[in-house]
Amino acid sequence: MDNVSVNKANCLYWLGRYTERAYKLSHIITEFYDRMVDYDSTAYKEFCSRLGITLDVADKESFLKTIISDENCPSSIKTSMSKAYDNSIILREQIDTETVAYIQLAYNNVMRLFSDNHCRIYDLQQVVDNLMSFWGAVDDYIIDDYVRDTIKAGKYVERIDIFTRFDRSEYKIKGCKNRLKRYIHHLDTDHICYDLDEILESSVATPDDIAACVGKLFK
Amino acid sequence: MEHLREQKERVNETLDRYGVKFSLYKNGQFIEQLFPFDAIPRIIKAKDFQKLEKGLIQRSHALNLFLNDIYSDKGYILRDKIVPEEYVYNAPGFLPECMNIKPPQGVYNHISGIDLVEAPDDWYILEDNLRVPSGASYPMIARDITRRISPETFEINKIVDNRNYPQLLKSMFDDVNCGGITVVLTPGRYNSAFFEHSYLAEKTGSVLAFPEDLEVIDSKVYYKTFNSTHQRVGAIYRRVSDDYIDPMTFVQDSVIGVPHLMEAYSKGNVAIINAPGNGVADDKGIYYFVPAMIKYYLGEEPILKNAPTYIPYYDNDKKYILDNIENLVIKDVSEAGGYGVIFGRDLTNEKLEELKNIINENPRRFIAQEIINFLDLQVLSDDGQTTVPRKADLRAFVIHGKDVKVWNSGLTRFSRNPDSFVVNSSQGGGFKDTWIMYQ
Repeated sequence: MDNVSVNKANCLYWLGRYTERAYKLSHIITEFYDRMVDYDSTAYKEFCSRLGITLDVADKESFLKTIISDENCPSSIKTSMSKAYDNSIILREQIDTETVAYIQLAYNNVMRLFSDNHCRIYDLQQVVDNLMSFWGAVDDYIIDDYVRDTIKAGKYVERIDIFTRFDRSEYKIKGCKNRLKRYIHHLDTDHICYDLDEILESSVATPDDIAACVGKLFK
Repeated sequence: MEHLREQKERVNETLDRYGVKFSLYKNGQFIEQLFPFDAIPRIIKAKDFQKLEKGLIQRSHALNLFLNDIYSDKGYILRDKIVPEEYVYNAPGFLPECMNIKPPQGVYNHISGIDLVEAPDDWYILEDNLRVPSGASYPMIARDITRRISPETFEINKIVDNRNYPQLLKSMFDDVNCGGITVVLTPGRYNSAFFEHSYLAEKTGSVLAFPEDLEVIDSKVYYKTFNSTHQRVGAIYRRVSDDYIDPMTFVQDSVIGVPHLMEAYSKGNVAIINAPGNGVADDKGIYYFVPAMIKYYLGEEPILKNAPTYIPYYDNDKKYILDNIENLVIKDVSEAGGYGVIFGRDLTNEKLEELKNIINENPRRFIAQEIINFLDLQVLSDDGQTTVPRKADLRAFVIHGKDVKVWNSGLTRFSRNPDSFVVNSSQGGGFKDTWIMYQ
């Protein structure tokens, strides 16, 4: 990353984290909303508990509106997109205007589709499509492997965190760890994250331990 | 009409998709907003543009010679009393710290944004912007989008492509680069023109740098990278104003500058684009003297006209201003962005008297101009059902490297208020594409 400053490396990493947070949580929100439709009307409580947040909601509609578009909710899709956008716009010459545009589109769609009280879960698909396109653009437009791998390191740190919180299978989490390991080995030429392999193998290490270890590289 | 309305909507939607915005602070709040695009272009015929081009190149040359002259110890134009000394040395944009510093290739005004208006009889120069002129990216990206939305328009009309602006910039960057990479120095994410900073960095293949990314070591500028290496910087396209560019030389508590940058610049180790100190040449008071500069330095008659201007510094002019104030537009030379512009016709008698007194007390602070009834351009109404006439100007961009070139386009800004002559984006104006025709 010959032309990437420390600050931009940090932005690349957090761009990956926030985008993945919006992307994966969109899928998980859909799952929980589905449970709330007919057999588990208070499933949102479990959702909040797993994320360690408190939401002042009463039903599936208010849950949907808050978790997607409430800017005061730290885990809302809007908050994540807003932060992803803030990081992306200073990276234009690294990631290309076309790539930045998918973040902008996702953000615009959150604002457009979820601004009133008649949110529809189906509309979240448009946001997911934009984010999927963003990941495609990351692979297609970004020439510098280090730039791409930094975004993806952020992505997999976030995915490990979310998968762990929502009890996804060990097999899936292991797959994420392997990918993260690959990206960090490529990026960390000075062995700043020298203990990452050990942390990833450890049965007691938490996602926070992983994030702290990887985060050293981008400070 | 339906076609234009649809085109306007689709271009504006696409501009939104690409985050083409400018920002402003309103009541202490940071607001990002779209710069509204109008689908009806300004059209300039090839013959008319050729004249503009010659005139703009001539003006840019003269202004550069003026800057070379006054920042050298010669100051011929002052010695020969073509420009009064006090207009130079009292100008807020004159920087004594730049005396005797020769910029790379002798170029000060690498990018000139020259504002013109078209009247029924001719074009007139309204002002020169030689510090950090902005706005080229908007018509450039709008053209790119419009070509995709309405390709047939560009098949039918023979329009000169304007998407070469990054190449013009890049070529100029290379001409003045002192060895190393070129960076676009932005004050930060919350600057009003941040989109443009990042977009031009991308399109010119430069590095977008924040102040903390640059460091001066042994009078050379370096870009600090993630992997602990330092890349030598040979040219800085800075979008930070002079006052804040180096806290060791100018405003001491600036956090958006690069300490010791002026030291590196003065030793010829880096080009600063545009050069510090240019503010003296685009001062509204100095504007009055540009036609005289052209004659003095180039021995030529000015090709483009200034708006008829009077400065209270000269007794005859002062008398004319005071006698005709209700028919003139008075401009405070220290203001910019459409602020500090007063139309005499809008003032009560009491306020006119007040203004006359202020002019008498501070003659250096103001210029007065005849009101040019510049041509209206047709703009699509907000509901898209009809067109309405609105005042518009044209910012032409002149790029000065080894050669001087005029970009085959420009930023046409229009007022969205039917009663206003103020077209600035910060005051709610919109923009149009500017078509230069092949014939």
